[in-house]
Amino acid sequence: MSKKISSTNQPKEETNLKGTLIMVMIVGIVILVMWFGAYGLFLSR
Amino acid sequence: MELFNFSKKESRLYMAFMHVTFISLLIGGLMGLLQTLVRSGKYTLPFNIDYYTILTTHGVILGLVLTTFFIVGFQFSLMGKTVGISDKQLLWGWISFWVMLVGTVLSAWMILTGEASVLYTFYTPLRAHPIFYIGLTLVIVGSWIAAFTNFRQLYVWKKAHKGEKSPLLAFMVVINMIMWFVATLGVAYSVIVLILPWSLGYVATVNVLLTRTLFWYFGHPLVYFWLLPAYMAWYAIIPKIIGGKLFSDSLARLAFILLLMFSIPVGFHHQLTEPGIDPTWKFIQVVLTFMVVIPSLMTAFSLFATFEIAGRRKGYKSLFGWFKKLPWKDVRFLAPFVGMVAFIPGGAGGIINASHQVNSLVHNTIWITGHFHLTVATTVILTFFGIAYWLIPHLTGRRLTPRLNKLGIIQTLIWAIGMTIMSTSMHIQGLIGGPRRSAFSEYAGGDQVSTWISYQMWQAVGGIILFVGILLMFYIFIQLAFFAPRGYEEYPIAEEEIDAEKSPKILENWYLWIGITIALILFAYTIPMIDIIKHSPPGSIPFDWPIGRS
Amino acid sequence: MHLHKYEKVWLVFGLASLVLFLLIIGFAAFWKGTHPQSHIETIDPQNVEANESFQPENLGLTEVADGKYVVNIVASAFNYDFGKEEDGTATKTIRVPKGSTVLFQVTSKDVVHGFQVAGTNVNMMVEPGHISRFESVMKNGGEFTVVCNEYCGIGHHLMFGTVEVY
Repeated sequence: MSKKISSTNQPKEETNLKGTLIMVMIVGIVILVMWFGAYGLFLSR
Repeated sequence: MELFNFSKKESRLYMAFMHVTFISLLIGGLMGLLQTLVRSGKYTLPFNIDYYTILTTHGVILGLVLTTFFIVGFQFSLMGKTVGISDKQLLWGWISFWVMLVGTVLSAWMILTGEASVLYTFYTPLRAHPIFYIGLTLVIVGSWIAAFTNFRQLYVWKKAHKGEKSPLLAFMVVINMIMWFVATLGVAYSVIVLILPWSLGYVATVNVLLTRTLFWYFGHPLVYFWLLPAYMAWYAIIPKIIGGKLFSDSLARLAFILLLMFSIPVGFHHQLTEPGIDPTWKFIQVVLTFMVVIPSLMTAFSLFATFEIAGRRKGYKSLFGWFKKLPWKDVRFLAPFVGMVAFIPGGAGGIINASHQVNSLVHNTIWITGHFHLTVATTVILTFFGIAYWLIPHLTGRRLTPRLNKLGIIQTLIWAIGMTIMSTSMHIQGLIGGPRRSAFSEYAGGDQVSTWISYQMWQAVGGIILFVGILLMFYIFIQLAFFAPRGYEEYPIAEEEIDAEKSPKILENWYLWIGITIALILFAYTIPMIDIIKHSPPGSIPFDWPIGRS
Repeated sequence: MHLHKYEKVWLVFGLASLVLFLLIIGFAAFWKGTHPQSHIETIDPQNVEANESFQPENLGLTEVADGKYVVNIVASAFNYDFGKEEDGTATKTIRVPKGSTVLFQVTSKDVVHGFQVAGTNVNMMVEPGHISRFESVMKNGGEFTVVCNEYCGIGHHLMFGTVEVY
């Protein structure tokens, strides 16, 4: 478990969250693609 | 963090709610299966059972009964765990349970005898039997008793812990129950003051648009009432299961406050194609609807960050090493995780639905059914299942054995496959115009209709797979409740980092947040409501068989 | 309260997307006038004939100007009244040329109905006491099923019609 390792002394700003940023950006792209797809279909009708 | 142990009689209360939940799942799931079979065109219901009786049962029992019982029971257990419950509060818990159950039985009796084939939205001037409305009212009143008991529980704890911040989960429960109470006031007014006297014949006519507007004032917060308990588990329970810590106590609280403020003044996005509401006010509520997306964006970040930080602490250094090493073989994590994934297309679809004029692309098409089978029937329900795997054995003094864990994983995969097939085919069929809430029909024939029917075949395939999933889940529930080996199952509640930043006091300023919530509701609804009442047409007389009852 | 710098990036991105969506639909709604239908015009559901548009002889398709049409429809469980053909039988199909502008006007005599010309943007709630109105340019040719997409009783799925764009 994580209790063994507690190297939490450095400030949060240093926490490496690169993977998180990439993951949420994928979520964002899904939202954009789906929305513009639906809007395009709306305009074509 | 101080946690309370459950006494035997306390566990019994929480389990009572769970029993109703899983019985509802079985009945409601069977209805869902039958619907997809009928809509395939290859199957006719026996004994002259009407499709819409089954559809009403499915919506009411899964959308209103299962969800409310699970949520009230789960939230009681969260309060019991984090702030404790007194004997008197326990008694009120039982009163809320019985009032809800009596209401459920009354409504179910009317639906099953064909006296209330009005679907779970019960739009006037379709008229159901008065007992149906009385039953629904009791379910809501029962949930109010639970809400006020929860408020009392936190209040008592706060008095004994002056100056301390309330436990995160207790805070979240209270937020959800405040939202629920404020929202249900609208539908309660509609049912008790407008619909019930009219259904009894004391009043000749009803204002259709007013009852619809009050329904949707409640209807959107209803879906957030389902979602928030899932968020509770994501924020404050999943981190413990994966061996991590809370990402941020204050950001979690802030997300819940935003959800409280923006869940309610948004009902018009369900009424965008309504003839009697000013389009400018529709647009204003569209903007408010987009605001409620923000706390979900925050949630997405928090979750990934929780996973990444926990993984990196365990020593996985590469960009996605932490992701690969998540506890995929632990169903307590896997089921909610699949739920989170479903919320990505589910949430994106929701933004499309709420996009003002674009709504006409999807309004009342089966796209909408596909949408909420992703959000509530995957995201929410898989998270609820994920909770049940540890909550039920914790309550019954048993253990989630490796075998049951494995069955749970299979259940999750079955659900993911079945729902991908069913929901995707619903989304596509909806985009090409296929309507929701309709029995099998070939309409006027033609290419368009035969394409719809081909997607309905796929929905039946998905429906069958999902029903297998429901049977498996019910089996797991019975095992965990009665047969699994005795032992201790952990009630996982995540802790804060040792050096966590202190949460600002303002986050617990209830007067402020409730005040803003009420102000936003008044802003979004006052003028359009005055308009609706001032410009109301002659009222509508009730319609029974063959329209309302069957 | 502390926000991680990547969370700031993400929230700015998310908010910007939402604002972009709102700008697009807001521009379309307030400058181009493509609101969802909302006309706030009322009618007595028990006497829809009092309104000229819904008198029996005015139901169905009328060409009001070159390439401009009006279709008046009375919805009731479980039928759309599109008026009558010359031989006296009930009209089931509305035929309009491609590219024409068609104003659909619908009201209900009984319960709530839906009116969707499936495959087009014509999609409205039809409620007793209100007149639903939506104007659309029929850009695409083909046969479109008109469906009642709000539950209206046991025959709900048998309530339909056809719009043919030729």
